[in-house]
Amino acid sequence: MADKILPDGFEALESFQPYWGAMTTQERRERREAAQMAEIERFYAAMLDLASAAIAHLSQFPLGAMPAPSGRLMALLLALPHAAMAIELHGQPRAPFTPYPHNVRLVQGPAHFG
Amino acid sequence: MDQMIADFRAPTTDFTRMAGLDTEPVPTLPYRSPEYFALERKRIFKRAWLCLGRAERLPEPGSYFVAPIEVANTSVLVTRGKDGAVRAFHNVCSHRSNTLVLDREGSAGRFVCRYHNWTYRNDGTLAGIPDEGNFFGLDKQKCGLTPIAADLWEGWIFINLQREPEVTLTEFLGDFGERYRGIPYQNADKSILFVSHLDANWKVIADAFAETYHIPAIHPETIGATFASRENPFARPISVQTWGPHRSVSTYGNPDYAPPERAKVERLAYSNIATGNVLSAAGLDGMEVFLKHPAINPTKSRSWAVDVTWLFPNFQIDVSPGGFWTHHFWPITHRSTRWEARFYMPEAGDVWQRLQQEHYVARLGEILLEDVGNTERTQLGLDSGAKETMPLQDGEVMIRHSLHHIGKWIEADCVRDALN
Repeated sequence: MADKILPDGFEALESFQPYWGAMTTQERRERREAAQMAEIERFYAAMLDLASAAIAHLSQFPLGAMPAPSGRLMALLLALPHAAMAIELHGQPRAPFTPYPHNVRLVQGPAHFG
Repeated sequence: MDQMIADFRAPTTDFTRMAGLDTEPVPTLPYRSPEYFALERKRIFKRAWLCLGRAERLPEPGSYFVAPIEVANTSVLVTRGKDGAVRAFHNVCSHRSNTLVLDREGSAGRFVCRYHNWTYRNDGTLAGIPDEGNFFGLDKQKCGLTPIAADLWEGWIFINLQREPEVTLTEFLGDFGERYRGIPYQNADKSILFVSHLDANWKVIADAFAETYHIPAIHPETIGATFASRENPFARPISVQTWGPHRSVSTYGNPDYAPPERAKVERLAYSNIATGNVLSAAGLDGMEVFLKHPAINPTKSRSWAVDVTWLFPNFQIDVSPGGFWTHHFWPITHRSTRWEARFYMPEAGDVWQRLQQEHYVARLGEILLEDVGNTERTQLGLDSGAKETMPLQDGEVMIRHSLHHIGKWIEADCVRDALN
């Protein structure tokens, strides 16, 4: 039987997983930079709603050894701060007066999902 | 050491005069002239000690990394030998000068040139030559890798591209090297790395990280409220120090910053961790010894954000309440630069900490883009030649100090004269 996409209780996030569920920090940056504000707003609202539940679920596992559906949920949770850059800081997808596209790249991310 | 302290609430600060620098506008020519760049290459980058980062990048005997040094047309192979010693070599095979090591880093007891399989030990000696008998009286002892002077200071690796460095690393660092002794750098073995190739002179980019005057304008949303406040609206520095060609500025942080109500994710990410401020990678746990060091936050101000310490010529170490990070500004041409920013942070222990790190790194990406995205626009203006000079204010004293010492090194025929 194929894996579930996300753990039970997080079905409401499944439609966001293909785009926002990137496994590295740099890819999560790129997805947010390339998204329209309306898409960012939809993801931000849905993920924020379930953030506390997601943290509680994910805290059962070591960061380096999550079952695949939980790992995908972790990646979605980590996309939330990126969406927050647009929603809580800039009021638009990217920082005002910054070049886009650009080549400021995170070539080495944090341990686990970085 | 000259430590200069000023009250940011006074009508003016007085760092520039206290540092013994003049207050005239500075020339823009050094930022756009290929001829000036050629002098910097010869007189500065081929004579000064250059920092290549932390020794933790070489965790065990056999560890190595390769550092391209475009300004000197070379790449440097840095190794840790069986004896534990750190050595540096030109990454060039002794046979036909092919590039020896092709990857960026790793662990290996031997290096094999992919051209004809010449093999070297990681102490630089030649181990083997295929079909050696068909050469003509080759002396293998003389066919090792070409060494580059390397030394360590407080866990930082430095190299010098002079065959016989005119001054030791200790002499080059001078009083700075004493003042910054014994700092227990936290999480020095783990870092994240931002890299960009930018169409701007290396000094334009270094300057962008050397003053806080720009913060309210360039970073109004990302960090404006953490570096400036009603009592210090233009983010004036707290103190400035100089040691020969090296310099440091201690910057103001708004001690009352708290994420606004609407910043729900920021509040969530930081709800479970005390970091000191938003520029901090890690929590405050284990930071007491680090923060008590007399060189860090030298005035022990409550309103402290970051110390930006700029080692001549192209390396900056930043320390803040939650840790440290570095900037390297590697010149490529007079108007292109490879910039690397490395932020040291621990491996997250749980979901909360990993979420805080992601928020931190996401915001960093925005701040850094605001900073370096602006440098290419500055370079375009400099290239136009519209302005022969630029006026620098007192908070931009590190830029003036940098230009002063670059000029001094270019003038000086020997390094000791440049340092004195």
